[in-house]
Amino acid sequence: MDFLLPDLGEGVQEGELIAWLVKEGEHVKRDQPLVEVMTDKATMEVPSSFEGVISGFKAKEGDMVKVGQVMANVDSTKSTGKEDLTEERHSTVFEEKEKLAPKSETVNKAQESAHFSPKVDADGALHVGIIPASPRVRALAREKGIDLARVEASGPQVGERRRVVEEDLQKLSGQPSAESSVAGKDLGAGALQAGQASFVSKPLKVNDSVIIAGEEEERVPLRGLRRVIADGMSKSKFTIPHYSYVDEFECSSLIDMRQQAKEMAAQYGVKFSYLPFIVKALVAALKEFPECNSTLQKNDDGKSDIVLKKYFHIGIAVATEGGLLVPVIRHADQKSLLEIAKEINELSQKTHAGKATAKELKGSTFTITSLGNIGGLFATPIINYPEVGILGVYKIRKQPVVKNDRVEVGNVMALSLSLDHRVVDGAIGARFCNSIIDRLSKPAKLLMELK
Amino acid sequence: MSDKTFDIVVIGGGPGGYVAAIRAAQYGYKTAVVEGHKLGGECLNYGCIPSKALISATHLLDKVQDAERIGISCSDLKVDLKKMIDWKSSIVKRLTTGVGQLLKANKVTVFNGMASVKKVDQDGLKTISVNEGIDPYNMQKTSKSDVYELKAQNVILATGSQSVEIPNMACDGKRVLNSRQALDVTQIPKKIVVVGGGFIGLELGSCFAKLGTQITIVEASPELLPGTDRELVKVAENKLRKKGAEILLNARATGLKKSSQSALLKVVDEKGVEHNLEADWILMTVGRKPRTADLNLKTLGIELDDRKRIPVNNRLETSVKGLYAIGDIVSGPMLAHKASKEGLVAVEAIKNPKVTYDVLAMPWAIFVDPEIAGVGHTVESAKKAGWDPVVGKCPFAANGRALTTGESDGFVKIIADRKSDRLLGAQMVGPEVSNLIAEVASLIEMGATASDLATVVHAHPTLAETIMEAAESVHGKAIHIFSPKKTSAAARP
Repeated sequence: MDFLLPDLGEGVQEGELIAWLVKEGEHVKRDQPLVEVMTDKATMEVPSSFEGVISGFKAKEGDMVKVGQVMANVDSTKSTGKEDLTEERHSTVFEEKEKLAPKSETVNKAQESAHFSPKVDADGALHVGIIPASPRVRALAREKGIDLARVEASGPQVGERRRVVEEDLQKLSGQPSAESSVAGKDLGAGALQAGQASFVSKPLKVNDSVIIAGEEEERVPLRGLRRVIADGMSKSKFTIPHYSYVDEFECSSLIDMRQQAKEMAAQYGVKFSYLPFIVKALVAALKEFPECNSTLQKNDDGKSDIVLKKYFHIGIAVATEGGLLVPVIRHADQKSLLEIAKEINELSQKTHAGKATAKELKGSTFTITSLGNIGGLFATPIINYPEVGILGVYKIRKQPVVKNDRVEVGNVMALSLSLDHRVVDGAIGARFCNSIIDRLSKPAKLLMELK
Repeated sequence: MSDKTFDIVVIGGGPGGYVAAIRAAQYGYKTAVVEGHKLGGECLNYGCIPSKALISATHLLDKVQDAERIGISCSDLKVDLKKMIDWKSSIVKRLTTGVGQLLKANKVTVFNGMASVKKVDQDGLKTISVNEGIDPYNMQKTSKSDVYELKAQNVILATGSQSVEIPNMACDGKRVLNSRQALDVTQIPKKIVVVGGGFIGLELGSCFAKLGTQITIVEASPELLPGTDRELVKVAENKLRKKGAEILLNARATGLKKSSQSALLKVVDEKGVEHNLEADWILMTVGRKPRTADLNLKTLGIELDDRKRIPVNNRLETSVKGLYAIGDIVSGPMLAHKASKEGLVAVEAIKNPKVTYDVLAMPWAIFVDPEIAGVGHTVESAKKAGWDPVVGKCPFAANGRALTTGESDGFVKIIADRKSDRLLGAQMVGPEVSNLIAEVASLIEMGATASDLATVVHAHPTLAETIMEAAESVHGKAIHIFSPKKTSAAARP
């Protein structure tokens, strides 16, 4: 019997295997959580729909798993009775078949890794069943920590795939493989000559020839949320020609207004920060500058459209322990300040606890990132792809301001906007920022716009 | 380092152990092998090598006896069994001596005695105790009595396997023989009973059948060579029956009586009918079991699996860091070349933490007549693994070379994936298939397709052309066999 990744709803097609919550060989009960899977940005535990023994993992931590894909083999009729040795047949073929069968009754990694199957392997053998590659190339890939499934292969065609050849690995690792294999050959004798008496106890890594001895490094696999963030940021920064625009404004009126709002909201048990005002000011400005609430989309014919969104879903960047997540206030234009404040409270709490759903974590049309009171004057945030802009808000600082030609102590907040120059030109960006500031420095204007 | 401290100590000097030791020495590790019986292990001393010598000799005899039809007749054909056995022993001696010389040349220290890992220090240093007073092969006392200890950070266990004996039918070397004893008989028996129709029983049984012995094979399961493709086994089984062998399937040996002249084996057949089989002696080939009982593993916290094998990870490392196990004592087929490969992987794993065992296709060969060999997937196992297998077949009867050697029984079967055309496996029965299988093994490991195999030019006239034709046949394009049009995604115009 196989344990498949079940339909996770919400149109989710695949997820990343974050962690197995059980061990191979473990007896599991119905409804026991088996595995932690992250889809888009939400992480969920997948419970067991059966009772039995997990006889072998078919997907490993860090793998992308499709809905319906086999994640583990399950033996629901596992017997623990000992076999009578005298009855055992030692025909080579008998054993061979057992070895090649997907279900191995004994936990033996050496044999499991040898599974010659188009399915994803359970351990470090890196898709050997799917990816055509010579034994030498497979060994080199393992040595370099390269997943053959992610290599752009240039060898001869084998079905839908191409054979991975050594050059393909070199392109990835950026060093000729001959070097590492020569280093490997010389290691034994070389290390002995260097006087390392007990080098056996500390196996040397062939790959580490470029690292000077004594400099310690640690390798943390790029997994889960970190990988999603890394991929997303790269995509944004390498696709979108960013520019940043920074301004500041005197916010004494906003401070007064927020103080009143805070007290009133407290009666409803809602924590009221500056964010609801900023969300409202942003939405009003977006309505004024529709190109700022858009995405640039490439069509099948190779041409692109600017898609102007007539809805206003505002993403709020939240720094969780695991990394950056962006829960979304949907239809922020249709909600009151209090409703927005309440929703920010709830979403932020859920996000920190890792309980936000995939739906709550996607679909924003513009994002706000706030460093809160951590510090700094301002930053140049990276746009939440495929949006065309992001608004950075920073802490309020007391600083001298000139009012009526006199220097006074003022309360100043900086705003920085990063925008996609393909869609939003500088002049529009500046006006867009003015429009936000106009509403935040004179919050009465926000009220005027209330319907 | 003292003269008793090593980087790597290998326990067992068989095809797994000595190969691991030489590779370790090549890498500059200070290496020792502890062998309590004879270097070369079961394979060189009592298994693969001596049995193949006798198989070749008796095959030659068979061919000469059959040569009249091609115009060669021979009168007064005699077999000098002693000379044959001596010849076999000389090959064994030559090879085992060679192993000793190779170990010496590579500066591997060889100790003689029964060894086990006594303890593991906090820093991973292992103490190996060696007792020269016991021969672990038969647990008999030796003429020596020294007991000492070796130290090493890394230990590779390679102690192999031993014949299984049926209780109350212990091998005495006179009326009840195991495979080792059968290789040193002094007289050609008139009649023997082979208990166990696995490959050892059939290989040795065939030898005696060719020497003129009347053989009866008693097999407990419904087929000979259980687990092997019936289509392949049938070819060899027919030939064995032609030689006059009697085959009892679904039959169990239930009792034994020995006299000074013969052995009487009580056998119950599938219908429950009791037979009394009288023979000069009984050959016991009911299987082999891993030699893991006396390695002190429990003290080290290692639990054996249900077949008394040692669990290892994909680096052949046990749950004790720096303690490796290879060959017959870990899971997988009991094959000498599998042990050798694992020995190499264990040493590579000691040297490089990223190395893992990565074999897609483990070839195997059974030296019955004609030979049977295979590599990679069968149709059934390919299906189970998730492939969509297509089969291409070509008989040796369509091969010129096979006909000219007078051995044209059998066929080659190539398994490929329908969609990708990737080579998945091959099974063969016929002349020299134990050698022919290597080509397919290489190509599977290289990730080649059936078209690749079919495209490579094979010299004419050779047996290997049959493989090429079988690969062509995957796409319905073999030249020398007519195949009705096949529909295959991999077929090309």
